[in-house]
Amino acid sequence: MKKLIELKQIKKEYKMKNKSLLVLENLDLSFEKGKFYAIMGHSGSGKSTLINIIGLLDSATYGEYSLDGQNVFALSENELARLRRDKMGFIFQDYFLDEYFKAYENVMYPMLINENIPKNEMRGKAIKLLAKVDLEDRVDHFPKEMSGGEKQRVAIARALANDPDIIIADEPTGNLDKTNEKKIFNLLKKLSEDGKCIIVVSHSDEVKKYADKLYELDDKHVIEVKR
Amino acid sequence: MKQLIPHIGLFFNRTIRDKKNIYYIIMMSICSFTLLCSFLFHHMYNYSDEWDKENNIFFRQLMVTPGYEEAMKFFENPKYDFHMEKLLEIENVIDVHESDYDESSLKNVVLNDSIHGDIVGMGYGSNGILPKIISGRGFNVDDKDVLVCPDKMYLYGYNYSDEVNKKEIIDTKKYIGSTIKGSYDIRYYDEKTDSIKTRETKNMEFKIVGVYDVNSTSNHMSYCYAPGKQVADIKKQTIITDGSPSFGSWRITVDNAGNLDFVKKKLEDMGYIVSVAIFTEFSTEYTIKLICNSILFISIVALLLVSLAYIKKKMINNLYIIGLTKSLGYNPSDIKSLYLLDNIVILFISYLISIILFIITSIIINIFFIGRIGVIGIKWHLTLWPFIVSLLLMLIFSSLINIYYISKRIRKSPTAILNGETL
Repeated sequence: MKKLIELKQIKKEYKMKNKSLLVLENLDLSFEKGKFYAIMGHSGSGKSTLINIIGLLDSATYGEYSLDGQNVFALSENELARLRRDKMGFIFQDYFLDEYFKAYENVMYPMLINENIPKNEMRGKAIKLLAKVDLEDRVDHFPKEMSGGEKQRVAIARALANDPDIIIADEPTGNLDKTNEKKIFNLLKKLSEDGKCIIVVSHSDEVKKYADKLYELDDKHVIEVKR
Repeated sequence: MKQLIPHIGLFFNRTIRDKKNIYYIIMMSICSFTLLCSFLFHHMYNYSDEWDKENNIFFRQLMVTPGYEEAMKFFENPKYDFHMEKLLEIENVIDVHESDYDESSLKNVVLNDSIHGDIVGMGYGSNGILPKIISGRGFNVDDKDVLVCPDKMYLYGYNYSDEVNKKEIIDTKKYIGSTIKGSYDIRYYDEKTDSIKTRETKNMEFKIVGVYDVNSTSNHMSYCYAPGKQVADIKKQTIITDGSPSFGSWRITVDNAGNLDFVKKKLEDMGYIVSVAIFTEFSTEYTIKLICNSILFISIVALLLVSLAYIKKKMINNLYIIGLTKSLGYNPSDIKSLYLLDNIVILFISYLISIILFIITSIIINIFFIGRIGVIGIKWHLTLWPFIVSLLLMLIFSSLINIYYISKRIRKSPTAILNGETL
């Protein structure tokens, strides 16, 4: 299958006053559509840094990044923003929902800048996405009226708003109990079966049950864990 | 921005739901209200000044006294005639009369046998001095027993329209052709008792021949004009003198306040001692302007400080939303637009509240305090520019502060923003 994301020789170094901190070194990774990828590693191993680079939320110090055949490191800030809008959906550990938007409005939020979705269809689309994550009865609820699991499902619906090819989840179950953790991973698995490329960073062993491919980050390098 | 405008309702709701905005809205409403009031006061003050110059006859009058040589001639021969009427030949001069005879009055007035009142003022009337007649006719300086009165007349004292019970105001147009009866006292100084006594009370009858628009003048509502020579005759009888020869000053009326300096110079060149008829109380004017400018300055500083403090705090609290928004694919200009829209919604609500506050204040002032405003020489006059300028100032200040703070943050990567590295 054609590679959706290809990373070559990725290096990430943080400069701090007089010293520098090397977090990632010579990373080669690739991702395809329709697969569930899990990236694991101990605290401070650089998992989040890696996923942020993959999600175009951060830049690498060195290396090549090709998304759908496009060299993303050569793109301007506006072009990167457009790529994030069209190709990526994000799920964060802390949900990052806007507390003053209702559930459906949070899901609509990424659509507002998408000229391909007519204004009068946005609400309907948001409600359908909420139904997809079993939250049809929570459409008009505010985040503060929902449980952690429900909030994370709203965040998943929001990640799907612009129908992206890639869903990036950084510790999506970090604040959830076991039951909700399973629900979230099941949902993500289903999405990968629908053709999405799911990339999850997690320290939970539960993710191993769902992942098609498992990577482990250790000492700035990544290794594929064969099972 | 264009893309987000159709969703302004969504952002409006969001702004309303954020209870923290209420404090900002309250503060901005107060700032906007004081700003608006300060600008309006400035406008009304300047407007009143201009209005006075245009409509208050005192602003185009000069007080003229003969110079030393002429005065000496008078004291050598008390029958000496100054021939002040020659001053009418000066360009732009429309009336000359002795200022002692500028005004007289009738008391115990009866209008048309049906309306009784206390007093009617009788100003020195001539073709040059009479205000524009809106109904009926005027008169000449040497006519007799005729009056031109205010269109809205009040016979119970020297009052302005904003100080009296409206029911007691007479529509004078209905009384053109009617007669006003009244009297005046001829008084003298009694040396024996060292007091002023009434020698005789004279009854007079005047026919109202015309009316003028009192609001286009600075006259009170019982101020009529009578033929100048007759006013002078009455005044000569009522003035108390010790019999020694003396002369006063002459009141020169110029056609336009703008020509006052020209005429003043001409008169001074002719050897007269000249002063303006009305002196502005500069210390009061200075104090009023100082207070007004201070309030304006404080309002602008408060507006700046409130905007700075609130927007900075909001940016810090909303950092994760900014980071999230950037992650979702909004580009920097989209994010700036979002925060500008949010700001516009807040300003719109604040401005609306300040307008409501202003309307309430205006109603209170117009019901209870309008007379007092008139006393300090300020006319109630609304215009659009203070409303526009105060709104623009609010918009410009808070938008610039917004753009400054948001620009500082959105330069960084979404991860840096989400991690709080832009604080």
